[in-house]
Amino acid sequence: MAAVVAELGAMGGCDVVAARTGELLLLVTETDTQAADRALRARIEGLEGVRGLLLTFGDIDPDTEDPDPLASGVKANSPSPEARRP
Amino acid sequence: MSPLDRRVFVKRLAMASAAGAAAALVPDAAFGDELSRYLDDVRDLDWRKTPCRFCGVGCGLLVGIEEGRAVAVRGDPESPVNRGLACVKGYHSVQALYGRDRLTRALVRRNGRLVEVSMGEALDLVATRLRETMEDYGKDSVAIYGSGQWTIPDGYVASKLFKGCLGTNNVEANARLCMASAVTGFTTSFGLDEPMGCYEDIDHADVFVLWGNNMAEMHPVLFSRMLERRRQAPRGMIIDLATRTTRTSYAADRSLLFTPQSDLAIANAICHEIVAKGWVNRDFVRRHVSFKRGRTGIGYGLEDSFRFDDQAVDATWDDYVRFLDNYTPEAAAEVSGVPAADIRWLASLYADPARKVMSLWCMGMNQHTRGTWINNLVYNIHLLVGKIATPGNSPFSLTGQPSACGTVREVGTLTHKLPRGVVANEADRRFAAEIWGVPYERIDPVPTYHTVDMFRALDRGDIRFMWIQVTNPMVTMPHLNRYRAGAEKEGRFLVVSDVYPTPTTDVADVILPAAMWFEQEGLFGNSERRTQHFAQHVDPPGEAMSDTWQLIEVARRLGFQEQFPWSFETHVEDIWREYTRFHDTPAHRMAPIEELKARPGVIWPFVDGRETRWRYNTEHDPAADRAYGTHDFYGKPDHRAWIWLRPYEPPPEVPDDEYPFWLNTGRVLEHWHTGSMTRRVPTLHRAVPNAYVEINRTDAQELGVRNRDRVRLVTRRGALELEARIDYRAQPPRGQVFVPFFDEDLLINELTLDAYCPISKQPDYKKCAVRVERLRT
Repeated sequence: MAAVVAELGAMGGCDVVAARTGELLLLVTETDTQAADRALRARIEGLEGVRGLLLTFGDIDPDTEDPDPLASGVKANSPSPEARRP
Repeated sequence: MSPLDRRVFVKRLAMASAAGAAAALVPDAAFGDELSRYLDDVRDLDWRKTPCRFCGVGCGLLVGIEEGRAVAVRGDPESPVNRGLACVKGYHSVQALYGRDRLTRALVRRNGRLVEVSMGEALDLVATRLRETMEDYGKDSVAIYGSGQWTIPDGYVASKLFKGCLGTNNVEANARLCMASAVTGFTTSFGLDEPMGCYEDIDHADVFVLWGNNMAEMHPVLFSRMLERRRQAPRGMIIDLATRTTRTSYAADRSLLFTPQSDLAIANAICHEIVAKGWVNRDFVRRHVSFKRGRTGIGYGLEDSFRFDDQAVDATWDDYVRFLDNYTPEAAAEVSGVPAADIRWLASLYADPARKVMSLWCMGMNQHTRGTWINNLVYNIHLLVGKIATPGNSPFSLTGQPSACGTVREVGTLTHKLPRGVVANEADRRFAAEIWGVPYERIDPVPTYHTVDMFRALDRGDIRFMWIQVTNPMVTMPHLNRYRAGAEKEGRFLVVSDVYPTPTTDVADVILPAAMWFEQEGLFGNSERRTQHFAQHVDPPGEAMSDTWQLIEVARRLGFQEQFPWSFETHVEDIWREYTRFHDTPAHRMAPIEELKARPGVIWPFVDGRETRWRYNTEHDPAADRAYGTHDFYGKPDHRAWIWLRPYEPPPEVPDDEYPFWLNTGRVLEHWHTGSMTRRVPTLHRAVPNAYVEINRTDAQELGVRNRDRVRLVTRRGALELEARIDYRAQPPRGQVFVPFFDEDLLINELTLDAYCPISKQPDYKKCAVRVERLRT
């Protein structure tokens, strides 16, 4: 447990609060891009001693990411997408 | 809030969410002062309770309000449903209120273009066209189509206006597409709808048999509770009985794959084995069970002219045993592909007197051309061994929507239903007319159209005016090409109340902006008969208005002020008090509004201040008579549950040389139904941005398809190009493909078949025949 906390602390972008009992820790990560998020998650999953991750909250900053998911969607089969934007 | 402040705030919010989840999952975990510094800011928010609106589980949430805006969510630790936990949709749920293209003004189509008008002008137009259509084409030319996401007041006023005031039974809801077979399963087996047990059964059961139910993705909070129970129970076990391998299969102790539709044969074979081995609880069967035979060879509802009524004929124990002769485990193995030894093993689990057993299901059994039958057959198993309506022994039908039970099933927003009873029953009509303040003769005794028929009637022109609220049928209807073309025909007038533009608003003549979730006061009813009240916590944007109030405004414009007299300030409470007069019996009494406001939901029947966790159990249910012994199945005239002799019958369309694969459709964890809300949440959208087709690895190799190649799916009804995914989050067996339906840009329902269960009228989205074509890149 202590080793995992130490390794997470050394990664950067990770805030860790470990439970006093049991093998449980709360982890908040912060990255600048989606790619960095994926890379960080892969590193965490690869740590020896990490048996599982449960995502409870995620947030994408609207100032740095496109907040309108449908704007990038494929519209191939949409019946009349232009009518969708009154 | 400055960018820096926001980042700090969001990190603290994230830590608070994680702490809440940890407390729910590992109650013994203790954290030191280090955690406090993350939580202080979050504690300062104004936290208010609401049930989640993104599935039928009914998790209690606490929503953090700041300056009139919902900015945070955490699971409500006081909710007995989720005990502080939430799923990924729940944790992101409030962001769905704030999509950039939220509908805030009414729109009316003029010369082919949608133009903004005031809400008052739009409601005037709706009332005028409704009246004119009835004058020109008759009362049954107008219809309303709602949803299991309607609040209870929404559904109640819709039913009162259309059935009571306008005199048409053209009232349906999308729960017909997801829960109708569960309803008819309950009513044919027990005489009354909705489960006899509750979620607490999970904490008592030893064995969980999941019938075509991917709980890990569809009901993740209940799935977590089940995993925890398995960890604690000495003989805890989860069996995943399904047509494809999913995240649920990976977590299960055993995964058994069966050929689509053969669950009918498997269930009968389990009963065959229980009888053959002498494992029947003879005392229970003798005291509490009757045997019935229904019609067979009942068709699939593919023709517009299709009509079917079942007929129960008395049968005997000996008849039942002879019927089961056709369902030896070996015979069922032949049909299903599940080895006979595994069927025998399943039977031994159900029959083991030392184990309590839950069966759980949802769309896999309900979206089925024999959906009523398979519901009956799973009840048969529990009835034969007497494992029913006691803590931990529970056949449990899960729902998909937050108020499919509370609104559609309990209020009765289906063509044949009234808030109490059915339109065909004179006493029920008189009772409703008295409460509604309308002439008894106004309520038509003849049901009109179930959902598929309603859209067929729109296509034919028998229905000319349709009001659609909080649902998206231009994504969800099977055989969608026909029904979209019908909706777009000349002479049809569609009103759509919704929160975002969708393919259904695309075909609307009037779009009414709706208040969403806790932008209004309301009530939902979840899978375990729990009614939950929520207050209005934030204002709706622009001129958006609750569906309830939209209906009241139109009703008054049509001259029904007397029937809809309520003030805006108190209308939800007033409606609740009127509605609950329909359920003022020990079998279905609802909690007063004051109790609902004070508690995290109340399970009905609520009698003398107590919830009823196990119906029909004479120790728990105030409506059950102890003179009948341990159980009183009072929904049936003979006070017995009915075991039905229901055979295996094949589906209407099976793979062949031209269309060699099964097509299965469904949902994914991250998206709610058609994605119109969850696709506006950036985190959820990015997790699963578009629909895809899951293909078995060996099938893909034979087709020359690699992961992420584009393929074309072709059925007799349409074609669709999709990205192929191999060994992705789930794996279909050889000969089957799976496509999620959340993506409005990739409409898989253009390919599905509009066959339905002739008893429940619920379509089967889980099986039709499809061809997979590799596309050259």
